[in-house]
Amino acid sequence: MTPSLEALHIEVRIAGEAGQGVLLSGQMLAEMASADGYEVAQSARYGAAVRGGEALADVIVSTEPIDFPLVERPHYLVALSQPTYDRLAPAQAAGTLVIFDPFFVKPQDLPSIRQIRIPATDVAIAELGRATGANVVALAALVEVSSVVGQEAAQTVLERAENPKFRAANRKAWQLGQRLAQEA
Amino acid sequence: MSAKPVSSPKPKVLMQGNVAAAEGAYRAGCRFFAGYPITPSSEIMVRTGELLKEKGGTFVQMEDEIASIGAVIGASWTGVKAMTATSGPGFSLMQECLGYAYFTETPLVLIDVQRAGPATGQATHVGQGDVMQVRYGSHGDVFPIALCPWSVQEMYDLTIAAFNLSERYRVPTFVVADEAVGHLRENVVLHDDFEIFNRNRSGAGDPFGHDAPDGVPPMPAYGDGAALLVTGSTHDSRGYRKVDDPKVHEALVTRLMRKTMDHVEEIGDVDEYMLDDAEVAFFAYGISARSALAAVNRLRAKGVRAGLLRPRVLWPFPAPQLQALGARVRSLFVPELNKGMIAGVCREYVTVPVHAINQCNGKALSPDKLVAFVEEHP
Repeated sequence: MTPSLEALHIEVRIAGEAGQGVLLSGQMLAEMASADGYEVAQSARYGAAVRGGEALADVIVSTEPIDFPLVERPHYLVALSQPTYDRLAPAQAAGTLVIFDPFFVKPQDLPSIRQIRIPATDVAIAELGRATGANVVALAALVEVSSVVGQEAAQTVLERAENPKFRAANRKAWQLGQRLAQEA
Repeated sequence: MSAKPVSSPKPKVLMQGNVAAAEGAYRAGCRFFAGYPITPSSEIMVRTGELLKEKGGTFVQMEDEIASIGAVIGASWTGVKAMTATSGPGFSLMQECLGYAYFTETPLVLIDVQRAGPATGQATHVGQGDVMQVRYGSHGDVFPIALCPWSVQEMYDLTIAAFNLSERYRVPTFVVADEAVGHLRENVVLHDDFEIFNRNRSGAGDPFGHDAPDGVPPMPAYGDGAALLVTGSTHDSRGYRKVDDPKVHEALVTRLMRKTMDHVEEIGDVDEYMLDDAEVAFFAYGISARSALAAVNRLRAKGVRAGLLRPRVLWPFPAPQLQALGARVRSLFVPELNKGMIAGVCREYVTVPVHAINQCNGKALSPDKLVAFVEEHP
Protein backbone atom coordinates (compact mmCIF):
# COMPACT_ATOMS: atom_id res chain seq x y z
CA MET A 1 0.00 0.00 0.00
CA THR A 2 2.82 2.33 -0.83
CA PRO A 3 1.32 5.71 -1.62
CA SER A 4 1.69 7.11 -5.08
CA LEU A 5 2.63 10.60 -6.14
CA GLU A 6 -0.98 11.69 -5.66
CA ALA A 7 -1.00 10.74 -1.97
CA LEU A 8 -1.60 13.62 0.38
CA HIS A 9 0.78 12.59 3.13
CA ILE A 10 4.01 10.58 2.86
CA GLU A 11 6.33 9.74 5.75
CA VAL A 12 9.96 8.78 5.19
CA ARG A 13 12.54 7.56 7.69
CA ILE A 14 16.24 7.29 6.90
CA ALA A 15 18.12 5.27 9.50
CA GLY A 16 21.77 4.51 10.06
CA GLU A 17 24.85 5.33 12.06
CA ALA A 18 25.97 8.86 12.84
CA GLY A 19 28.56 9.78 10.22
CA GLN A 20 26.81 8.10 7.28
CA GLY A 21 25.19 11.32 6.15
CA VAL A 22 21.77 10.25 7.41
CA LEU A 23 20.76 13.66 8.73
CA LEU A 24 22.07 15.40 5.63
CA SER A 25 20.00 13.06 3.46
CA GLY A 26 16.91 13.92 5.44
CA GLN A 27 17.60 17.62 5.12
CA MET A 28 18.19 17.26 1.37
CA LEU A 29 14.92 15.39 0.92
CA ALA A 30 13.10 18.07 2.91
CA GLU A 31 14.69 20.79 0.76
CA MET A 32 13.60 18.94 -2.36
CA ALA A 33 10.03 18.57 -1.14
CA SER A 34 9.90 22.24 -0.20
CA ALA A 35 11.29 23.20 -3.61
CA ASP A 36 8.57 21.01 -5.13
CA GLY A 37 5.88 23.05 -3.40
CA TYR A 38 4.96 20.59 -0.66
CA GLU A 39 4.41 21.18 3.01
CA VAL A 40 7.36 19.62 4.82
CA ALA A 41 8.31 18.62 8.35
CA GLN A 42 11.83 17.29 8.91
CA SER A 43 13.10 16.09 12.24
CA ALA A 44 15.91 13.94 13.54
CA ARG A 45 16.70 11.70 16.45
CA TYR A 46 20.25 11.04 17.55
CA GLY A 47 22.26 10.56 20.70
CA ALA A 48 24.55 12.83 22.69
CA ALA A 49 27.77 11.09 21.62
CA VAL A 50 30.28 13.15 19.66
CA ARG A 51 30.44 10.42 17.02
CA GLY A 52 28.72 7.12 16.38
CA GLY A 53 25.39 5.88 17.60
CA GLU A 54 22.05 5.60 15.89
CA ALA A 55 20.83 8.46 13.74
CA LEU A 56 17.33 8.80 12.33
CA ALA A 57 16.23 11.44 9.85
CA ASP A 58 12.49 11.79 9.39
CA VAL A 59 10.67 13.67 6.67
CA ILE A 60 6.95 14.25 6.15
CA VAL A 61 5.89 15.43 2.71
CA SER A 62 2.31 16.59 2.36
CA THR A 63 -0.04 18.58 0.18
CA GLU A 64 -1.84 19.79 3.33
CA PRO A 65 -0.63 21.63 6.43
CA ILE A 66 1.00 19.07 8.72
CA ASP A 67 -0.61 18.88 12.16
CA PHE A 68 1.81 16.55 13.97
CA PRO A 69 5.28 17.12 12.48
CA LEU A 70 7.05 13.95 13.64
CA VAL A 71 7.00 10.68 11.71
CA GLU A 72 4.66 8.06 13.19
CA ARG A 73 4.26 5.38 10.51
CA PRO A 74 6.82 5.63 7.72
CA HIS A 75 5.70 4.62 4.25
CA TYR A 76 9.36 4.37 3.29
CA LEU A 77 12.27 3.23 5.42
CA VAL A 78 15.84 3.55 4.22
CA ALA A 79 18.07 1.34 6.40
CA LEU A 80 21.80 1.98 6.22
CA SER A 81 22.87 -0.03 9.27
CA GLN A 82 22.16 -3.49 10.66
CA PRO A 83 21.03 -2.36 14.13
CA THR A 84 18.51 0.13 12.76
CA TYR A 85 17.31 -2.39 10.18
CA ASP A 86 16.88 -5.11 12.81
CA ARG A 87 15.01 -2.80 15.14
CA LEU A 88 12.84 -0.93 12.62
CA ALA A 89 12.18 -3.13 9.58
CA PRO A 90 10.31 -5.96 11.36
CA ALA A 91 8.14 -3.38 13.16
CA GLN A 92 6.96 -1.63 10.00
CA ALA A 93 3.31 -1.66 9.01
CA ALA A 94 2.30 -3.97 6.18
CA GLY A 95 3.06 -2.43 2.81
CA THR A 96 5.96 -0.32 3.96
CA LEU A 97 8.74 -0.17 1.41
CA VAL A 98 12.15 -0.81 2.93
CA ILE A 99 15.31 0.13 1.05
CA PHE A 100 18.44 -1.45 2.51
CA ASP A 101 22.13 -1.22 1.69
CA PRO A 102 23.62 -4.76 1.56
CA PHE A 103 27.08 -3.43 2.46
CA PHE A 104 25.78 -2.89 6.00
CA VAL A 105 22.51 -4.83 6.16
CA LYS A 106 21.80 -8.55 5.99
CA PRO A 107 18.05 -8.56 5.36
CA GLN A 108 15.51 -10.70 7.15
CA ASP A 109 12.63 -12.55 5.56
CA LEU A 110 9.74 -10.14 6.19
CA PRO A 111 6.75 -11.12 4.03
CA SER A 112 4.43 -8.26 5.01
CA ILE A 113 6.71 -5.50 3.74
CA ARG A 114 8.37 -4.84 0.42
CA GLN A 115 12.16 -4.72 0.39
CA ILE A 116 14.52 -3.34 -2.22
CA ARG A 117 18.25 -4.01 -2.20
CA ILE A 118 20.21 -0.90 -3.15
CA PRO A 119 24.00 -1.46 -2.97
CA ALA A 120 24.66 2.25 -2.49
CA THR A 121 27.94 1.90 -0.59
CA ASP A 122 29.44 -0.64 -3.02
CA VAL A 123 28.58 1.55 -5.98
CA ALA A 124 29.80 4.70 -4.26
CA ILE A 125 33.17 3.08 -3.56
CA ALA A 126 33.43 1.67 -7.09
CA GLU A 127 32.16 4.65 -9.07
CA LEU A 128 32.78 7.66 -6.84
CA GLY A 129 35.93 6.40 -5.20
CA ARG A 130 34.66 6.82 -1.67
CA ALA A 131 31.84 5.55 0.53
CA THR A 132 30.74 9.00 1.65
CA GLY A 133 28.54 9.51 -1.40
CA ALA A 134 26.40 6.50 -0.50
CA ASN A 135 23.81 8.62 1.29
CA VAL A 136 23.07 10.56 -1.90
CA VAL A 137 23.01 7.33 -3.95
CA ALA A 138 20.47 5.89 -1.51
CA LEU A 139 18.42 9.08 -1.53
CA ALA A 140 18.32 9.07 -5.33
CA ALA A 141 17.12 5.46 -5.26
CA LEU A 142 14.40 6.37 -2.77
CA VAL A 143 13.21 9.28 -4.91
CA GLU A 144 13.32 7.11 -8.04
CA VAL A 145 11.16 4.33 -6.57
CA SER A 146 8.84 6.57 -4.57
CA SER A 147 8.50 9.73 -6.66
CA VAL A 148 8.00 11.41 -3.29
CA VAL A 149 9.52 14.50 -4.89
CA GLY A 150 9.94 15.39 -8.54
CA GLN A 151 13.27 14.99 -10.32
CA GLU A 152 13.33 18.67 -11.26
CA ALA A 153 13.06 19.78 -7.64
CA ALA A 154 15.70 17.22 -6.70
CA GLN A 155 18.12 18.62 -9.27
CA THR A 156 17.44 22.16 -8.08
CA VAL A 157 18.53 21.24 -4.57
CA LEU A 158 21.55 19.21 -5.71
CA GLU A 159 22.78 22.26 -7.63
CA ARG A 160 22.61 24.41 -4.49
CA ALA A 161 25.85 22.96 -3.12
CA GLU A 162 28.32 25.83 -3.04
CA ASN A 163 31.41 23.80 -3.89
CA PRO A 164 31.41 22.80 -7.61
CA LYS A 165 33.23 19.58 -6.68
CA PHE A 166 30.27 18.58 -4.50
CA ARG A 167 27.82 19.53 -7.23
CA ALA A 168 29.56 17.26 -9.70
CA ALA A 169 29.80 14.43 -7.16
CA ASN A 170 26.13 14.81 -6.22
CA ARG A 171 25.08 14.70 -9.87
CA LYS A 172 27.00 11.50 -10.43
CA ALA A 173 25.80 9.93 -7.18
CA TRP A 174 22.23 10.79 -8.09
CA GLN A 175 22.50 9.10 -11.48
CA LEU A 176 23.98 6.00 -9.83
CA GLY A 177 21.11 5.83 -7.36
CA GLN A 178 18.55 6.21 -10.12
CA ARG A 179 20.18 3.40 -12.08
CA LEU A 180 20.28 1.09 -9.06
CA ALA A 181 16.59 1.70 -8.42
CA GLN A 182 15.69 1.00 -12.03
CA GLU A 183 17.66 -2.25 -11.94
CA ALA A 184 16.32 -3.36 -8.54
CA MET B 1 1.44 43.03 21.41
CA SER B 2 1.19 40.01 19.17
CA ALA B 3 3.54 39.63 16.23
CA LYS B 4 0.87 38.99 13.64
CA PRO B 5 2.00 40.17 10.23
CA VAL B 6 0.10 42.85 8.35
CA SER B 7 0.63 41.03 5.07
CA SER B 8 2.86 38.27 3.74
CA PRO B 9 4.34 39.01 0.35
CA LYS B 10 7.46 36.97 1.05
CA PRO B 11 7.93 33.40 -0.14
CA LYS B 12 8.14 30.38 2.10
CA VAL B 13 11.56 28.97 2.87
CA LEU B 14 12.49 25.72 4.58
CA MET B 15 14.20 26.53 7.84
CA GLN B 16 15.07 25.03 11.20
CA GLY B 17 13.19 26.40 14.21
CA ASN B 18 16.33 27.57 16.00
CA VAL B 19 17.54 29.36 12.88
CA ALA B 20 14.13 31.01 12.47
CA ALA B 21 14.37 32.29 16.04
CA ALA B 22 17.74 33.88 15.25
CA GLU B 23 16.28 35.49 12.12
CA GLY B 24 13.37 36.81 14.16
CA ALA B 25 15.70 38.23 16.80
CA TYR B 26 17.71 40.12 14.22
CA ARG B 27 14.59 41.50 12.53
CA ALA B 28 13.23 42.59 15.93
CA GLY B 29 16.37 44.68 16.35
CA CYS B 30 18.60 42.41 18.42
CA ARG B 31 22.16 43.68 18.04
CA PHE B 32 23.87 41.93 20.96
CA PHE B 33 24.17 38.25 21.75
CA ALA B 34 26.23 36.71 24.52
CA GLY B 35 25.92 33.01 25.10
CA TYR B 36 27.39 29.65 25.86
CA PRO B 37 26.52 26.80 23.50
CA ILE B 38 24.26 24.01 24.70
CA THR B 39 22.24 21.36 22.92
CA PRO B 40 19.50 21.75 21.71
CA SER B 41 19.77 25.53 21.45
CA SER B 42 23.21 26.03 19.87
CA GLU B 43 21.97 26.77 16.34
CA ILE B 44 20.40 29.97 17.68
CA MET B 45 23.81 31.13 18.85
CA VAL B 46 25.51 30.11 15.60
CA ARG B 47 22.99 31.84 13.33
CA THR B 48 22.74 34.97 15.47
CA GLY B 49 26.53 35.17 15.43
CA GLU B 50 26.54 34.98 11.63
CA LEU B 51 23.85 37.66 11.33
CA LEU B 52 25.55 40.06 13.74
CA LYS B 53 28.90 39.56 12.03
CA GLU B 54 27.46 40.07 8.52
CA LYS B 55 25.10 42.92 9.28
CA GLY B 56 26.56 44.59 12.33
CA GLY B 57 26.23 44.00 16.02
CA THR B 58 28.10 42.39 18.87
CA PHE B 59 28.46 38.68 19.44
CA VAL B 60 30.38 37.19 22.34
CA GLN B 61 30.87 33.57 23.27
CA MET B 62 31.20 33.79 27.05
CA GLU B 63 32.91 31.44 29.47
CA ASP B 64 29.61 30.16 30.87
CA GLU B 65 25.90 30.86 31.18
CA ILE B 66 26.20 33.11 34.23
CA ALA B 67 28.58 35.40 32.40
CA SER B 68 26.35 35.26 29.32
CA ILE B 69 23.24 36.59 31.01
CA GLY B 70 25.34 39.16 32.89
CA ALA B 71 26.71 40.47 29.60
CA VAL B 72 23.20 40.62 28.13
CA ILE B 73 21.98 42.70 31.08
CA GLY B 74 24.90 45.09 30.74
CA ALA B 75 24.39 45.41 27.00
CA SER B 76 20.71 46.19 27.49
CA TRP B 77 21.64 49.12 29.73
CA THR B 78 23.71 50.60 26.91
CA GLY B 79 20.46 50.88 24.96
CA VAL B 80 20.84 47.87 22.68
CA LYS B 81 18.38 45.01 22.30
CA ALA B 82 20.12 41.96 23.70
CA MET B 83 19.48 38.24 23.82
CA THR B 84 20.86 34.89 24.86
CA ALA B 85 19.78 31.31 24.23
CA THR B 86 20.22 28.21 26.33
CA SER B 87 18.61 25.00 27.56
CA GLY B 88 17.53 23.80 31.00
CA PRO B 89 20.97 23.33 32.62
CA GLY B 90 22.13 26.77 31.45
CA PHE B 91 18.78 28.30 32.33
CA SER B 92 19.22 27.09 35.91
CA LEU B 93 22.62 28.79 36.10
CA MET B 94 21.16 32.07 34.85
CA GLN B 95 18.45 32.34 37.50
CA GLU B 96 20.31 34.63 39.92
CA CYS B 97 21.04 37.20 37.22
CA LEU B 98 17.52 36.87 35.86
CA GLY B 99 16.17 37.94 39.25
CA TYR B 100 18.52 40.92 39.05
CA ALA B 101 17.30 41.70 35.51
CA TYR B 102 13.71 41.53 36.67
CA PHE B 103 14.27 43.77 39.70
CA THR B 104 16.24 46.32 37.66
CA GLU B 105 13.54 46.26 34.93
CA THR B 106 16.04 45.29 32.27
CA PRO B 107 14.57 44.37 28.88
CA LEU B 108 16.13 41.19 27.46
CA VAL B 109 15.07 38.08 25.61
CA LEU B 110 16.11 34.58 26.58
CA ILE B 111 15.27 31.62 24.38
CA ASP B 112 15.17 28.39 26.35
CA VAL B 113 15.04 25.33 24.10
CA GLN B 114 13.91 22.71 26.58
CA ARG B 115 15.45 19.26 26.75
CA ALA B 116 14.70 16.30 28.99
CA GLY B 117 15.74 17.20 32.53
CA PRO B 118 16.38 17.63 35.39
CA ALA B 119 20.14 18.26 35.47
CA THR B 120 22.02 17.31 32.30
CA GLY B 121 19.28 14.78 31.62
CA GLN B 122 19.08 13.82 27.95
CA ALA B 123 20.81 16.52 25.94
CA THR B 124 19.43 15.66 22.50
CA HIS B 125 15.89 14.72 23.50
CA VAL B 126 12.78 16.76 24.09
CA GLY B 127 11.22 17.79 27.40
CA GLN B 128 8.93 20.51 28.74
CA GLY B 129 10.17 20.66 32.29
CA ASP B 130 11.15 24.34 32.42
CA VAL B 131 7.68 25.87 32.35
CA MET B 132 7.62 26.45 36.10
CA GLN B 133 11.27 27.47 36.32
CA VAL B 134 10.57 30.25 33.84
CA ARG B 135 7.75 31.50 36.08
CA TYR B 136 9.20 30.92 39.54
CA GLY B 137 12.92 30.31 38.98
CA SER B 138 14.01 33.44 40.80
CA HIS B 139 13.67 33.97 44.52
CA GLY B 140 11.28 36.69 45.57
CA ASP B 141 8.11 37.71 43.77
CA VAL B 142 8.69 37.99 40.04
CA PHE B 143 6.35 37.92 37.08
CA PRO B 144 8.20 37.52 33.80
CA ILE B 145 6.56 36.91 30.42
CA ALA B 146 6.93 33.58 28.63
CA LEU B 147 5.92 32.59 25.09
CA CYS B 148 5.65 29.03 23.77
CA PRO B 149 6.13 28.45 20.02
CA TRP B 150 4.68 25.29 18.44
CA SER B 151 6.13 25.64 14.94
CA VAL B 152 9.09 27.00 13.04
CA GLN B 153 6.91 29.94 12.00
CA GLU B 154 6.27 30.76 15.64
CA MET B 155 9.95 30.42 16.53
CA TYR B 156 10.29 33.43 14.25
CA ASP B 157 7.06 35.27 15.11
CA LEU B 158 7.20 34.81 18.88
CA THR B 159 10.86 35.79 19.14
CA ILE B 160 9.88 39.11 17.57
CA ALA B 161 6.90 39.35 19.92
CA ALA B 162 9.20 38.62 22.88
CA PHE B 163 11.44 41.57 22.01
CA ASN B 164 8.42 43.84 21.66
CA LEU B 165 6.97 42.76 25.00
CA SER B 166 10.31 43.06 26.74
CA GLU B 167 10.87 46.58 25.42
CA ARG B 168 7.29 47.63 26.15
CA TYR B 169 7.18 46.42 29.76
CA ARG B 170 10.86 46.48 30.68
CA VAL B 171 10.67 42.88 31.82
CA PRO B 172 12.85 39.87 30.95
CA THR B 173 10.87 37.90 28.36
CA PHE B 174 11.31 34.25 27.55
CA VAL B 175 10.69 32.15 24.49
CA VAL B 176 10.19 28.72 26.01
CA ALA B 177 10.68 26.40 23.07
CA ASP B 178 11.49 22.70 23.10
CA GLU B 179 13.95 20.45 21.29
CA ALA B 180 11.30 19.13 18.92
CA VAL B 181 10.27 22.59 17.70
CA GLY B 182 13.79 24.02 17.85
CA HIS B 183 15.26 21.28 15.66
CA LEU B 184 12.23 20.93 13.40
CA ARG B 185 12.48 22.11 9.80
CA GLU B 186 9.32 23.50 8.21
CA ASN B 187 8.38 26.05 5.60
CA VAL B 188 8.35 29.51 7.09
CA VAL B 189 7.63 33.03 5.88
CA LEU B 190 10.09 35.59 7.23
CA HIS B 191 7.70 38.51 7.41
CA ASP B 192 9.46 41.82 7.75
CA ASP B 193 6.48 44.10 8.10
CA PHE B 194 6.06 43.76 11.84
CA GLU B 195 5.54 46.62 14.18
CA ILE B 196 8.69 46.95 16.22
CA PHE B 197 8.49 48.42 19.71
CA ASN B 198 11.46 50.28 21.12
CA ARG B 199 11.87 51.21 24.77
CA ASN B 200 11.27 54.77 25.91
CA ARG B 201 14.81 56.10 26.36
CA SER B 202 13.63 59.53 27.46
CA GLY B 203 15.47 61.10 30.35
CA ALA B 204 12.24 62.80 31.40
CA GLY B 205 11.02 60.92 34.45
CA ASP B 206 12.73 58.73 36.96
CA PRO B 207 14.07 55.45 35.55
CA PHE B 208 12.65 53.30 38.39
CA GLY B 209 9.43 54.99 39.33
CA HIS B 210 6.02 55.67 37.92
CA ASP B 211 2.93 57.41 39.21
CA ALA B 212 0.72 54.60 37.95
CA PRO B 213 0.86 51.48 40.16
CA ASP B 214 1.37 49.32 37.07
CA GLY B 215 3.44 51.82 35.13
CA VAL B 216 6.56 51.35 33.06
CA PRO B 217 9.17 54.06 33.66
CA PRO B 218 11.44 55.44 30.91
CA MET B 219 14.84 53.78 30.55
CA PRO B 220 17.73 55.99 29.50
CA ALA B 221 20.92 54.19 28.56
CA TYR B 222 24.40 54.67 29.91
CA GLY B 223 25.88 57.46 27.82
CA ASP B 224 22.55 59.22 27.32
CA GLY B 225 23.44 61.74 30.01
CA ALA B 226 21.14 60.63 32.79
CA ALA B 227 22.58 59.99 36.26
CA LEU B 228 21.94 56.26 36.31
CA LEU B 229 22.14 54.05 39.36
CA VAL B 230 21.23 50.43 38.70
CA THR B 231 21.07 48.10 41.69
CA GLY B 232 19.56 44.75 42.59
CA SER B 233 18.90 46.04 46.08
CA THR B 234 15.61 47.75 46.82
CA HIS B 235 15.73 51.20 45.25
CA ASP B 236 13.66 54.32 44.97
CA SER B 237 12.44 55.86 41.75
CA ARG B 238 15.87 57.37 41.01
CA GLY B 239 17.73 54.15 41.75
CA TYR B 240 18.99 55.03 45.24
CA ARG B 241 19.27 52.04 47.56
CA LYS B 242 16.49 51.87 50.16
CA VAL B 243 17.24 48.63 51.92
CA ASP B 244 15.48 49.51 55.18
CA ASP B 245 12.37 51.33 53.93
CA PRO B 246 9.33 49.01 54.11
CA LYS B 247 7.13 51.28 51.97
CA VAL B 248 9.62 51.50 49.10
CA HIS B 249 10.08 47.74 49.00
CA GLU B 250 6.35 47.02 49.09
CA ALA B 251 5.63 49.59 46.38
CA LEU B 252 8.44 48.41 44.10
CA VAL B 253 7.66 44.69 44.33
CA THR B 254 3.96 45.45 43.80
CA ARG B 255 4.48 47.71 40.79
CA LEU B 256 6.79 45.22 39.09
CA MET B 257 4.24 42.41 39.55
CA ARG B 258 1.41 44.63 38.30
CA LYS B 259 3.30 45.56 35.14
CA THR B 260 2.60 42.01 34.01
CA MET B 261 -0.50 41.04 36.02
CA ASP B 262 -2.55 44.10 35.09
CA HIS B 263 -1.85 43.72 31.38
CA VAL B 264 -2.83 40.10 30.85
CA GLU B 265 -5.26 41.07 28.09
CA GLU B 266 -2.70 43.10 26.19
CA ILE B 267 0.15 40.61 26.67
CA GLY B 268 -1.90 37.42 26.36
CA ASP B 269 -2.23 35.51 23.12
CA VAL B 270 -4.11 32.24 22.69
CA ASP B 271 -4.99 30.11 19.69
CA GLU B 272 -8.36 28.35 19.61
CA TYR B 273 -9.05 25.34 17.40
CA MET B 274 -12.42 23.61 17.00
CA LEU B 275 -13.69 24.94 20.32
CA ASP B 276 -17.10 26.29 19.20
CA ASP B 277 -18.95 23.01 19.75
CA ALA B 278 -16.28 21.16 21.72
CA GLU B 279 -17.34 18.83 24.53
CA VAL B 280 -13.79 17.93 25.49
CA ALA B 281 -10.75 20.13 25.05
CA PHE B 282 -7.00 19.97 25.17
CA PHE B 283 -4.93 22.71 26.77
CA ALA B 284 -1.43 22.38 25.39
CA TYR B 285 1.68 24.32 24.39
CA GLY B 286 4.81 23.74 22.30
CA ILE B 287 5.29 20.38 20.61
CA SER B 288 2.59 18.82 22.83
CA ALA B 289 0.11 21.20 21.22
CA ARG B 290 1.02 19.73 17.83
CA SER B 291 0.27 16.29 19.31
CA ALA B 292 -3.04 17.65 20.57
CA LEU B 293 -3.86 19.29 17.24
CA ALA B 294 -3.49 15.96 15.45
CA ALA B 295 -5.45 14.24 18.22
CA VAL B 296 -8.31 16.72 17.77
CA ASN B 297 -8.39 16.01 14.04
CA ARG B 298 -8.42 12.24 14.63
CA LEU B 299 -11.07 12.45 17.37
CA ARG B 300 -13.25 14.65 15.13
CA ALA B 301 -12.93 12.02 12.39
CA LYS B 302 -14.38 9.55 14.91
CA GLY B 303 -17.24 11.87 15.80
CA VAL B 304 -15.81 13.10 19.12
CA ARG B 305 -16.27 16.84 19.59
CA ALA B 306 -12.78 17.75 20.65
CA GLY B 307 -10.98 21.09 20.55
CA LEU B 308 -7.74 22.77 21.52
CA LEU B 309 -6.93 25.89 23.53
CA ARG B 310 -3.29 26.79 23.03
CA PRO B 311 -1.47 29.57 24.86
CA ARG B 312 1.12 31.32 22.72
CA VAL B 313 1.78 33.29 25.88
CA LEU B 314 1.95 30.83 28.78
CA TRP B 315 2.90 33.41 31.43
CA PRO B 316 0.93 35.45 32.36
CA PHE B 317 -1.38 32.46 32.37
CA PRO B 318 -4.46 32.73 30.11
CA ALA B 319 -6.84 32.32 33.03
CA PRO B 320 -9.83 34.19 31.49
CA GLN B 321 -9.86 32.02 28.36
CA LEU B 322 -9.36 28.82 30.35
CA GLN B 323 -12.14 29.70 32.78
CA ALA B 324 -14.53 30.40 29.90
CA LEU B 325 -13.59 27.09 28.32
CA GLY B 326 -13.99 25.25 31.61
CA ALA B 327 -17.58 26.46 31.81
CA ARG B 328 -18.37 24.94 28.40
CA VAL B 329 -16.60 21.57 28.16
CA ARG B 330 -17.10 18.28 29.98
CA SER B 331 -13.44 17.72 30.71
CA LEU B 332 -10.01 19.10 29.99
CA PHE B 333 -6.91 17.20 28.86
CA VAL B 334 -3.45 18.63 29.44
CA PRO B 335 -0.67 16.77 27.62
CA GLU B 336 2.85 17.75 28.70
CA LEU B 337 6.39 16.39 28.58
CA ASN B 338 6.70 16.73 32.35
CA LYS B 339 4.82 15.28 35.30
CA GLY B 340 1.88 17.67 35.17
CA MET B 341 3.25 21.16 35.80
CA ILE B 342 0.65 23.13 33.84
CA ALA B 343 -2.18 20.65 34.51
CA GLY B 344 -1.85 21.67 38.16
CA VAL B 345 -2.23 25.33 37.24
CA CYS B 346 -5.31 24.57 35.14
CA ARG B 347 -6.99 22.97 38.14
CA GLU B 348 -6.88 26.34 39.91
CA TYR B 349 -9.16 27.85 37.29
CA VAL B 350 -11.71 25.20 36.30
CA THR B 351 -14.01 22.85 38.16
CA VAL B 352 -14.39 20.23 35.43
CA PRO B 353 -12.01 17.24 35.59
CA VAL B 354 -8.49 18.07 34.40
CA HIS B 355 -6.72 14.98 33.05
CA ALA B 356 -2.96 15.27 32.96
CA ILE B 357 -1.31 13.25 30.17
CA ASN B 358 2.37 13.11 31.00
CA GLN B 359 5.41 11.63 29.37
CA CYS B 360 9.06 11.99 30.38
CA ASN B 361 10.88 9.62 28.02
CA GLY B 362 12.57 12.15 25.77
CA LYS B 363 9.97 11.73 23.05
CA ALA B 364 7.01 13.82 21.98
CA LEU B 365 3.54 12.51 22.83
CA SER B 366 2.03 10.51 20.01
CA PRO B 367 -1.36 11.81 18.86
CA ASP B 368 -2.71 8.25 19.00
CA LYS B 369 -1.83 8.08 22.70
CA LEU B 370 -3.86 11.24 23.29
CA VAL B 371 -6.79 9.87 21.27
CA ALA B 372 -6.77 6.64 23.26
CA PHE B 373 -6.56 8.54 26.55
CA VAL B 374 -9.56 10.71 25.69
CA GLU B 375 -11.56 7.65 24.62
CA GLU B 376 -10.72 5.95 27.91
CA HIS B 377 -11.83 9.02 29.88
CA PRO B 378 -15.17 9.99 28.34
